[in-house]
Amino acid sequence: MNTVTLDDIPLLWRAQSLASLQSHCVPSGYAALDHALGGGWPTPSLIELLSDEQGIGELRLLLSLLRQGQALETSSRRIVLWLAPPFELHATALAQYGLAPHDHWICSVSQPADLQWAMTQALRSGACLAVIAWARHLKPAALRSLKLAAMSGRGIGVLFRPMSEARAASPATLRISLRSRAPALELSILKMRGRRPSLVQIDPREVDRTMSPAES
Amino acid sequence: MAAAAQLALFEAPARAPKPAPAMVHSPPAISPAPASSRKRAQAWLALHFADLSLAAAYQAAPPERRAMLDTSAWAVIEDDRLKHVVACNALAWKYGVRPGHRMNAAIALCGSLVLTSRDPRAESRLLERIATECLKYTSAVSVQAPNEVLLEVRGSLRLFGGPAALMDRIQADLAALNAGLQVALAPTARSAQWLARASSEPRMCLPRELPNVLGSLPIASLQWPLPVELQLTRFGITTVGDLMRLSRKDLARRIGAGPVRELQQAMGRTNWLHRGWSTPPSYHDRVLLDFEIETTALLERMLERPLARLKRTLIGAARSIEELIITLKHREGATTLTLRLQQATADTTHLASLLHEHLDRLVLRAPVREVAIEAPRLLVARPRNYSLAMDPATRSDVQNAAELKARLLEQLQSRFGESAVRALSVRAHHVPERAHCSATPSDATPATSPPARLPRRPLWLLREPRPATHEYRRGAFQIESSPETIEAEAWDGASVRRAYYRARARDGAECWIYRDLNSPQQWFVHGLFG
Repeated sequence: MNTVTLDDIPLLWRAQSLASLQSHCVPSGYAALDHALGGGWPTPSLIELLSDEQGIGELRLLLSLLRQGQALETSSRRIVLWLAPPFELHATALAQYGLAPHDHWICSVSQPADLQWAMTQALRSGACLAVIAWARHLKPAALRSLKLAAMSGRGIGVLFRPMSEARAASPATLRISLRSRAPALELSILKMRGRRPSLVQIDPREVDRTMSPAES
Repeated sequence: MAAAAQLALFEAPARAPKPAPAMVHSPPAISPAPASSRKRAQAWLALHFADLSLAAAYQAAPPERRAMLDTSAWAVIEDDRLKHVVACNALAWKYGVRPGHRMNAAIALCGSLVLTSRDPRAESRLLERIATECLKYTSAVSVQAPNEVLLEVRGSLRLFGGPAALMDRIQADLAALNAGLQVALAPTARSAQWLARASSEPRMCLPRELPNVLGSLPIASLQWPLPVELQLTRFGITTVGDLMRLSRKDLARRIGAGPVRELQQAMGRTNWLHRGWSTPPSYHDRVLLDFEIETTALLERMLERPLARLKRTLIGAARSIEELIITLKHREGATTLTLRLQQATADTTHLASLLHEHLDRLVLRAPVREVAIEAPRLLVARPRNYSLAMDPATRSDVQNAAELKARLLEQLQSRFGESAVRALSVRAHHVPERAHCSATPSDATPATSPPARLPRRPLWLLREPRPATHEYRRGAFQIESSPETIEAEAWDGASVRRAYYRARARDGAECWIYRDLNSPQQWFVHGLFG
């Protein structure tokens, strides 16, 4: 037997599809960071995170960003694409933080040109909630095209780059350099659209306490 | 009373049975019984191609020969002993060449006559192509070999603006073929067929005019077998009207049951079942190049037109494809490109962008002389509703998300290879490195969730545990948790006994280290709490 749902009626649109146009923020889960950024992670945007170390809490920083839209059903959820990650992403850990591992795609590319192409395509496609990439040298023009792609695909591009790139100019919406001040993580916000540079300290272990798979 | 109503409801579908989908049913239009008056009136449009063999021969000719044929008198001849002329073009007609002439007679009339032999297979292919084209006017199409197509257009008349407009449109669409099209519209399939055969002008026949119109048709125009036609002439019967005055039984005894049944069908007294025509199950296209192509960029430009043709076919027939095979033929051998799609589509712009990635990676080993495009399966396209106002902030067009994901995957795979993109999933296993696996995203893996009380696992896992005994001895790690012991026995000898700790390294990184309980005092770093 065929059931007809409201979505099948061609001349019917629901009010929920008329949402506000302004770009909004996603709370980061850290009060101090939200305060410094003026509400949270800007979206859509290109975010640059500059760091020379791994394992200092750089992924836990992004977790609340990746948890957007988890309430939607599987087929309509957008994916997170990881490009050239330095280590293997552990599916069990993702599940423990309340993320669906199946929505995380990993693509290992070696050439910088390939990485830039893949990131641009993924951001522009609109299928990605976020594209997280590890890149070394990118030209300003490449960064600008990534930002444009993120804007047109309404996604978030996250670029992990070495600290040495901090001196070079970048069109990214947000630039943060990460430094470990054990047990805290020091974020120095180099650039944020519409705000001043500032210095914030957060404790990444905060998420470990608050985020759990049970109540996601 | 209620029971009676229920019974009537129950019986209603039984009284008006649906015809089998593969058959087009032609019921009597003028019916004496009141029960069948509820049947919908039909309107049959017959397309009779008098010069189909001419058109087929012209289509099959290479371009330079076509240019020659355009300017000269030419004819198609049957490949039998006497080589009869089957059809000829207007220029040859002017010289006096007629279908039915023997080859010698035709050459005597026109010395410069160009002769082409008939190709029945090309003709039937052309007729099938026409039938496929005609599916855009109606879904009830029937191919009548050798040179007729019948369409039931009752349901399409309003859409196309009435019978006259529809006939004009069909004639305009098929005019370029130059196949001597004759059309007629009538209430029954057989009468439409006869009318189309009889007159070169478009004919339209209303149900009440049917007996008169049919009555005035000459027997000679019906294309009945010659013995039957001669026999009827001997009886002094020249029109269908004369035929209708005779007793059906006697007539059947003299000229056979076939023509009598046709007459009954034309009058709508007997049903005529047709095999319905639908889109062929696969798609083949071939481009023969006038010159050799050596660069992929040029090849891409060249493929634009065949792809546009494919798109027209797909949209016209409401079909979509999920696999496209492009064969590049060289002087020796061939290169095959296969595009496999996650989701069936009729959007050739997307196909072109995938093809661009494939061609970008391709190194042509020899110049290309011929290109074959093949879609092994045409699937029924599912039309989709688009929302009027899509939420720009979240793109919450729900139906769209799956398609967008599939397209992105296709794009990445066509550039980096089939196995380049992997999706993560959790496996039920104690050993951390075996507790996760990655597979191509299209493969549906059942969602497994880790046990609720499992201690936190690190987000980063090292591909191989890194030995760190020296660093540990020098006090590089500050242990921050109680041990978690993981033991697993395996048949293949890779049994694992480890005590895991959460530790902070001197540079500030939070590590997941373990002590191997099998080999005492050996320390390893296995992950990072990124």
